[in-house]
Amino acid sequence: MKDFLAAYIRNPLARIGTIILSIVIILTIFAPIIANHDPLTQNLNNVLLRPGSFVNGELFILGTDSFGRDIFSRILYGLRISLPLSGLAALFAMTTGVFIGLVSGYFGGIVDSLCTMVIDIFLVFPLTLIALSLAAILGPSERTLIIVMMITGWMTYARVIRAVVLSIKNKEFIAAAHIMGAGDFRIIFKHLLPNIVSPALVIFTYNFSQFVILESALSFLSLGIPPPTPTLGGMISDGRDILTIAPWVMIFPGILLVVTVLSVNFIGDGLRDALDPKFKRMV
Amino acid sequence: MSYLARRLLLLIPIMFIVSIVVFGMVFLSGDPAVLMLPPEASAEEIAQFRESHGFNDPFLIQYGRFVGNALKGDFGVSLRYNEPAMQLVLERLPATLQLSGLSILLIVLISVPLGTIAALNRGSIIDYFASFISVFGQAIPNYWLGFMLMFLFAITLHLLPTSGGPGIKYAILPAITIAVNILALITRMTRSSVLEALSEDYVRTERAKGVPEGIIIIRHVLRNAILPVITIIALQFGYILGSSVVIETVFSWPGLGLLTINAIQNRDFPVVQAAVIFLTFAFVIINLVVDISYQFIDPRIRFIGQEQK
Repeated sequence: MKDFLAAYIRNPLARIGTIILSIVIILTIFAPIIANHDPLTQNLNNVLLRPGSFVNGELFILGTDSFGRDIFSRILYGLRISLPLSGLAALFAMTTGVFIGLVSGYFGGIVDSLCTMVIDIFLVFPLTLIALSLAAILGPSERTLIIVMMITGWMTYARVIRAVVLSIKNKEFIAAAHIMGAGDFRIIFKHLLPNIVSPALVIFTYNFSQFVILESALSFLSLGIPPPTPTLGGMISDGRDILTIAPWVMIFPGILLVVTVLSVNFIGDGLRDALDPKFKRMV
Repeated sequence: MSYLARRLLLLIPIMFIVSIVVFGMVFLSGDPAVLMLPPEASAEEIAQFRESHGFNDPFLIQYGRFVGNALKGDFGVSLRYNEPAMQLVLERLPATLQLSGLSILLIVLISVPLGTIAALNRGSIIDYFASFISVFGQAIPNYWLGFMLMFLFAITLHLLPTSGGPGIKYAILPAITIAVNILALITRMTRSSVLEALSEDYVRTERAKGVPEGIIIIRHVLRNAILPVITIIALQFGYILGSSVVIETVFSWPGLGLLTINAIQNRDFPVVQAAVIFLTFAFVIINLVVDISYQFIDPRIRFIGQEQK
């Protein structure tokens, strides 16, 4: 553990990523305190104010949108929706994928063939299209997003975990455990799982950043979380018609997306390199 | 069972699932008769419409009818444009292919040289630039990047048109936008592929023989490094098709993606069905072709694949 932490901290990008993500998370958690405006209140007197405008004793740090709503506050509250949602979806995807990968790798035989076939089927789908169609069917909502994300995200976990299980399955300590009479469950929980935590964690970070972008894309297409709830993707969509006169409405949510995704990716890279250089090939 | 046969067989469950999803879409969105008729239609007209179009039949029979027609290429008539749905899809296909083709061209022309030069000059500015592109390219939401490029080049600098098409002028920004995400990946892959080829034994042998470095690079290193890169690029074609759905919306490029999104938002079910099934089928076939041809290009893969069985 100490080696891992030392290796991780040594990585400059990982350090930066961790710091930035921490800041983002703090902003998200304390949004109600930090935000100086209500994200939903419309004020048609303050429409499309430039960033830094000071009007009637109120400061609009990043300007306002076409309904007079403060962009800064909306971004903060938007994070409160996007981040937990993506995190939850990634958790579900991880659980599903790891489970299938474990079962597939450990039991082998027909079970393995079946699971591999299912994984292959899902992988060959044009996921963007399916995500769009599903989102259109189910209607814009949080639940739709989570379902769509789970369906598109579990396969990576399954594949990698299966490979890990296959490579460990034949090692001596498993054989020894078998001989000593250990049942399947015990072997899985006590011997396999600890080895699976690291790769699963690395995949989780990349998965999470993927989902943040996916959620924003779906919200951008009005297939995600419906207005007036602020979401980063929805804000980008709002800024579309007024790009020429009020570009800040679209620029800032996007910047925040990039920053968040970048920092998570850096963390993922750092984790991957610190945990085991072997992972570089698999993930 | 041979690899080819197994992959072909996968087609069946895939198309089955897609067709169910796409067919069920109509039902889950409410009464199809109500959706397809104008709002002033009376209750009688709705009931009559439902009967004559077979919406009262059991689900399976309607599904069977749908599949039967689909296999003939008949997806019904677009609710919005009053043209046969599949015909609309095929009409808009060339525009999307143009865009995809331009994107792939950009990717190959930019990331392969960039990755190669970066590998050959490790630690140089070019290497840092390549890493920079790899890192940012992956983190940027491509539709947002599209708007930013539009803002910079079209709105501020007036160098290019903001939207529309067809035409090369209109295709540049969308093609770049689509390419960026993949540029990141391919640059990194090319770089590591070249690095790996450079460290091979035969390169040392050639150097020992006194062969000029330039010839070693072009004739040996590149040829071997290119292989995995080509495969990855070909596999990205599906991702490109998927991205074009969103990017065409951003730039109003008159392609299949824009048609699909509009159809989804307008609840134009025949078109959605035709488009999604067509795109899925194309996607799956392309992946299959790439997989198979890769086995021929590099015979080593065939053996590795068989080992894993």
